Amino acid sequence: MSANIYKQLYDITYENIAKSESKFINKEISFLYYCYNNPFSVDVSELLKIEATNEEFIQIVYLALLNRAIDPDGFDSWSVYFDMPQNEFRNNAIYGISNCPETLIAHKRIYNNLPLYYHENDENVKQPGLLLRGAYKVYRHCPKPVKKIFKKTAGRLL
Amino acid sequence: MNNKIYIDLSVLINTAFLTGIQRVSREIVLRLLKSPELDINLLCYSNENEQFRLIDNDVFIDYYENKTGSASACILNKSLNINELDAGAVFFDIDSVWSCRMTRSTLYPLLKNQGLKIITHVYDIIPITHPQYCHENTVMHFIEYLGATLQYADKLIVNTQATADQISMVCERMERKMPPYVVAPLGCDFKKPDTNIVPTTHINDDGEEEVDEEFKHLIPSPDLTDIINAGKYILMVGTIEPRKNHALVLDALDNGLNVNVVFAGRIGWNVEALVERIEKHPLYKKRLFLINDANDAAINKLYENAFLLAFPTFNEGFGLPIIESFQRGTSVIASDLPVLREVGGEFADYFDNTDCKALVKYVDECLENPEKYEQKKSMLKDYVPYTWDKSAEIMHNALAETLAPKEQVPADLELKQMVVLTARNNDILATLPFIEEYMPFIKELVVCCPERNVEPFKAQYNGRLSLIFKTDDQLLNGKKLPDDHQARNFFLRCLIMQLDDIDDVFIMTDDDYRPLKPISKDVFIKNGKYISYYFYDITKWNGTFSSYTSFDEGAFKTRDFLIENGYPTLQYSSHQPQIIDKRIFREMLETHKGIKNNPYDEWSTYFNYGLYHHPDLFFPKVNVSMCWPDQTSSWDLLYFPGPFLFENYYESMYEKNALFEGFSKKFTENQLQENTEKEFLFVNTLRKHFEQKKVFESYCYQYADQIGEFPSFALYIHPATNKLQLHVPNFILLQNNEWTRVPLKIADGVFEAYQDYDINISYTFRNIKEIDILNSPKLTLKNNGNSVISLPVHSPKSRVNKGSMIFRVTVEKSSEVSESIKNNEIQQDTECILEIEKILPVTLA
Repeated sequence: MSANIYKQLYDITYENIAKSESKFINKEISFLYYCYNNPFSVDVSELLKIEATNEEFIQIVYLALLNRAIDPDGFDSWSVYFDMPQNEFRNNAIYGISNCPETLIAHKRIYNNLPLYYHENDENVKQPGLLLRGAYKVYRHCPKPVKKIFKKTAGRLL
Repeated sequence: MNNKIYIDLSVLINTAFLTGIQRVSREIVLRLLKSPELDINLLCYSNENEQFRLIDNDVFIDYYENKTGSASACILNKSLNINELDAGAVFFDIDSVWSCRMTRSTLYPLLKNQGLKIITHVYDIIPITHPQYCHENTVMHFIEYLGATLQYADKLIVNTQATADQISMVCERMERKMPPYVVAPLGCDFKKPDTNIVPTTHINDDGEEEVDEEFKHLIPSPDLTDIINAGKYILMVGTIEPRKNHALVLDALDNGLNVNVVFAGRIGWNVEALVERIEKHPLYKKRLFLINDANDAAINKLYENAFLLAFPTFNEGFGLPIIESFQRGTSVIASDLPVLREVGGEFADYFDNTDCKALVKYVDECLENPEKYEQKKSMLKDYVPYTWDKSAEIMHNALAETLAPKEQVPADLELKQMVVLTARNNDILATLPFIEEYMPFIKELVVCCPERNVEPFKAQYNGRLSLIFKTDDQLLNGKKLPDDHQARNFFLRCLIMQLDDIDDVFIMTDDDYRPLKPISKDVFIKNGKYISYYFYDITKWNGTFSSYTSFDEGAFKTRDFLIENGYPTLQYSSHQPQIIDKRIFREMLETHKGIKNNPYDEWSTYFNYGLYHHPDLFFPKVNVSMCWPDQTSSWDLLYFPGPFLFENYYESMYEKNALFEGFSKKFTENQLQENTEKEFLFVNTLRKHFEQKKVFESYCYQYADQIGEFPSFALYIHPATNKLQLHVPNFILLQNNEWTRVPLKIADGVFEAYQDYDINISYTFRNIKEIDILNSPKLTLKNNGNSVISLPVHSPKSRVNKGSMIFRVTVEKSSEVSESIKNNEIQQDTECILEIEKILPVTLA
């Protein structure tokens, strides 16, 4: 009974989007992911299992790690890599986004971040996240208005 | 009667600039707080703590009514977990909660689990019907919010019948029943600036006269003199956004509109082109004006001096500017939409909002026929606006009506019968003296047992209860008993419910549950409700380690059944005595035909069904059974049970070195004293375990702060090397000598890569001097289709608070190993093809 109410609502909404000849960046899979996703935690290894194209996957990663839909600028910058082999794209997308400052301030419990562990076990790869994490520690002690500016800038940087 | 109302005001509290919805929330909540009949509990969700925080009602009133204090000062330093919310209370969502981090698809099922009722104020469904006018993020949030609302809300509040009709159409398309609704039109008697007050002034640093700060809100800002002096104007009030259709008024201006145009509102989303068109218009600042920073006094003045209010919107939930305009005696020309006709009635005029020439024509008619125009204006003197008091009264009544129970367990219901399903005479016979002593209202015992048990039972029993026997053959009546333990349990209980000679309402128990102290009927029926005792959330049940029992499999199947039907998901299968209404159980069997042939967990199925279909009859509470489980290591405990009323009797707990060593296994004269002591011992072990849980939880957050992710244990195949890898956190904090369950992730492909092998995990505790002080047994991981295994970890008793854990994973070829272990043989010659070790630094608290 309850399993597909979000899908049904999406279908109705999508029809209305199509009627008005407008377009959304996010695909159906992202809308539904948002409806079923735990807003406070993400098991990255489960994320890797989702059946999705690279384009759809990056949309889901934004929702999963940053709690927001992908913005047009972000989408454009990732679209350059949509031709990559799926595994490579996924590992890069998760590794890249989980190390960005916006993820660090999204307060999401991230578990089983396999792409990060792959790097840990690769001696030739340094962990670029450490520098950003240092910045995050500074951020945590900033007053609210400064945090807001930081948040906005972080979003743009991404 | 429960009169508790919870209202989540997270958005209002965290918003500096109040939009329409936050103003509605404020006006309604301030009035509800004055109701003596409702116990209003205001909440704000803390995303960092993942808990509600209580709001101080008085401070809230001070800030939002008397304008003293601050919004953040309203939030008390007092948290409220979702499982602390009262069953039977109403959770009222009036704020724009679709933007909350705590999504309603997450929150509402949890509230339903707790037996709360939900009322949601749906302002409109524009993101669904007209998504092109909304930001993509809003549409995404709204689909989630409306989906959860239609699925879980007990009642909707809408502001117009038109919105209700739109929701109804959406529900019809989805072939779903729309929740009942109440139409509560919005008030519009916002506090107006007091025009009798003469603002005081002072001379500022530049030597100019300036109005004192506290009176500034009374002075229109910006100054409107030039705009008003420029001539008659048509006014549009509201955020500048595509949905409001400002473009049509601009088109009208370009097509001979004979009055000026004033747009007053904040610059919204997706209007860059429109704003550019306004600012580059040849008549800009001559006959076309855009004001995006007007204060209330300025808006008031603009309304009062406008020739007409134009409202060419494509869609609205209500259309507050229409009413605000009426109140100031200004005529309105609005889009011909059902919702606006409902709000504006005969007092407004309507036009086709795609035809700019229709607007030009209407304005020309007003200018050419001033009598007709004045006649329309004079009609507005008869307009009686809806007040916030009236809106709040309708909502108050809707809340009170929802709180009032529709069904109630009769106060004089006789509860005298206990039913037990047992194949073990000794166990039930040892339990009965406890029941006879501590449950005086039980007069009759229905024993469902094999035929062979009946006569010996009769021969051994000499207590006060009258006995009724139902043999397996009588129950089965030729039907075949399922082989699976859980399926058999459920099947037999379904058959018991079909018996006409058992009471409609009775206590069902297991043969080894002993009451610990005098128990009254109140434990099972209180305030007209059946009290049901849960111990877990079945969606979180991970089962026992590695190999699942029939109980676990049954729990997983029950979980799927409950989710599929949208039922609550609490797990009631502690088998402690529970009250059953046979009629509701039968109703469930009728609703879900064929259900009895499934291996479902009987009480989780029944109570969740009952809570969903008869919310007024059930009150879920955390279980009150001691020794469920007997060891804190058995599973990861979710809730702290108790105060204990029953003991799940395990003989092993009374053996040497066990917790209850030395206590009597049978009923004694000194039983009450013994039970108190046992309870004390057991509570202590539980308390220590929950302290460990807190230590572990705080460690997780500390870890996330430092490392950027939560501590994870994972087994995975590295894509570059195709080799098995183990990931452990960089460090761990555990409590001395206590059990913890750490989630171990088995990533996709691990079992597949080692199909013919056993994957084993074990750990060693090593102290700071590199001496091994604790070795765990080797646990073989089984592929149960569940990718997370709850790995039990026992920390050693140590005087030193530092050390390390060496996690060891081995992959061994040994198809016979499992058989050998079953036969208690030691397998000497397993072939180990891979061994991984990871060191995890440990701090013992």
